[in-house]
Amino acid sequence: MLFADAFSHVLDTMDWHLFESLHLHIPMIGSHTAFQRRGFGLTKYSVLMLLAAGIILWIYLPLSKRIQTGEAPKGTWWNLFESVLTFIRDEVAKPYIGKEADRYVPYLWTVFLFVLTCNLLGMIPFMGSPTASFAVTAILATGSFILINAASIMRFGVAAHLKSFAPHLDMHIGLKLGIWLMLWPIEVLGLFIKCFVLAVRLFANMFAGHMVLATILLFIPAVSRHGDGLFWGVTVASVVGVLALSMLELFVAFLQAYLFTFLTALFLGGVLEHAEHAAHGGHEVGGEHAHGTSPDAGVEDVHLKKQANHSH
Amino acid sequence: MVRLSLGMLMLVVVGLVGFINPAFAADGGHDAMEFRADTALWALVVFVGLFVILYRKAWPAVLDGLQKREETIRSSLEEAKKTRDEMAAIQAQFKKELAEAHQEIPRLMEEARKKGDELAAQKLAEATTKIQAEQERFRREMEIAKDQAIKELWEQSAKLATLISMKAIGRALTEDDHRRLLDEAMLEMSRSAHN
Repeated sequence: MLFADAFSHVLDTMDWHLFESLHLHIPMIGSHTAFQRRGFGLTKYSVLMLLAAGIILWIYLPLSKRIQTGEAPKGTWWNLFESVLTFIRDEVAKPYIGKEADRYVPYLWTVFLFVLTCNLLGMIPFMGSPTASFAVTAILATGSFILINAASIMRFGVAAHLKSFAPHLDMHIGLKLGIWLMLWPIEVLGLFIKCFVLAVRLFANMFAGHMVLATILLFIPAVSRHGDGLFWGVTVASVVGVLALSMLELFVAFLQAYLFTFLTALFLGGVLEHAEHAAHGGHEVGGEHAHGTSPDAGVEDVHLKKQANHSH
Repeated sequence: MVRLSLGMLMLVVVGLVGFINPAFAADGGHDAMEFRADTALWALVVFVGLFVILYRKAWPAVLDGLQKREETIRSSLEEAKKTRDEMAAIQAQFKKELAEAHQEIPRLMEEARKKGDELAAQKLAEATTKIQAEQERFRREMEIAKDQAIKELWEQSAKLATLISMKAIGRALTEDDHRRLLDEAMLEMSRSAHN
């Protein structure tokens, strides 16, 4: 019963729970119609996502005008908001995607800000994190999956993109074809799985964090009928525990937004690099990638390349 | 590419919603992995809408601004490096000239000292010559004054001797006597003066 209540507070709902005795009911589009029955109503997370988008636009549309001239923005908050963009561009996009980073950085900025804002909304009382819904994270991961493939196809063509999943093998053509037939589907599936895990990781972290917070807080109503001593003891312990865990959740909110963006850039950089090698006639361009036989290996290569660049 | 990506995303989500929705739309029970089609659709609409607005209205300006700033920083760094190199060259030149000047100082000092000595010697010689000339002039003038005084003294002595002799012998002497006596007196006085 307790966990069911915690679920009802964390999952997406048609009701907006403010207190146990007061439910704010979000009006639904086409209520009690076939449209609604098929699940297209306005939910709590829908409203929160709109709020998140509004906040992002409210901040970044004026900021874009302030920094368009190339001058640094004035003011602590504007610098803080701009530093988020420069961090993603300089520390995530450029090291892992390369010189073409500016072509893809708008997507990375958008996805980072959207995920971060959705995550942080969950830290505000009576709100929630839309990223604690698998439906939301699945859409975001699907966007990353499509971007990764579309970018490779648009730059190097379908053939090079498909060829990039085939590992480079120095062996007899017959044996090579046999291994390719086995490995190619695994490599393609690997990209699907990586993007799926992208969605699950974000969803699971946010969902689990909020579940823990909700469960600890729900201990309070659970012991409310068992005497004042127990009630106040559990209340104090729950509030202190939730406060401490909220600090951790705040960190997780930033960390997960960063991870989602970072992994998208990493996968994109790896796929683009392998597609480029495939388009230019093999993986052994310059002898650098004799061991790089798959998009996974490409990811490692990009990572190593970044480390090498930093060490120089 | 963005349009293609967004179109593909739309297609995927609409397909997912159509395929999954009947199974998950039921509002009963709690499933953590529940795929709510309405939430997914809203997520798609909101995210795509947000991306399109930012992609058109904000990100080009931001990228433009950041690229301009990078260019400014790069050119400023190059300018600073160039200025630093110039300053280093000027400093090196200054140090070289300073070292040369330091090496020149003893020579200049020695030269100045020599010139000073020469000048002092020259002035000393000039002064000595001048003093000797003055001394010579004074000596000559003294000789002349002395001869003049002696001559006048002799004449006075002769007159006095004549007068005394006249009174002593009681007779007037002739002109020849006077001359003879005078010459003898003068000769005597000259001897005594030289002695």
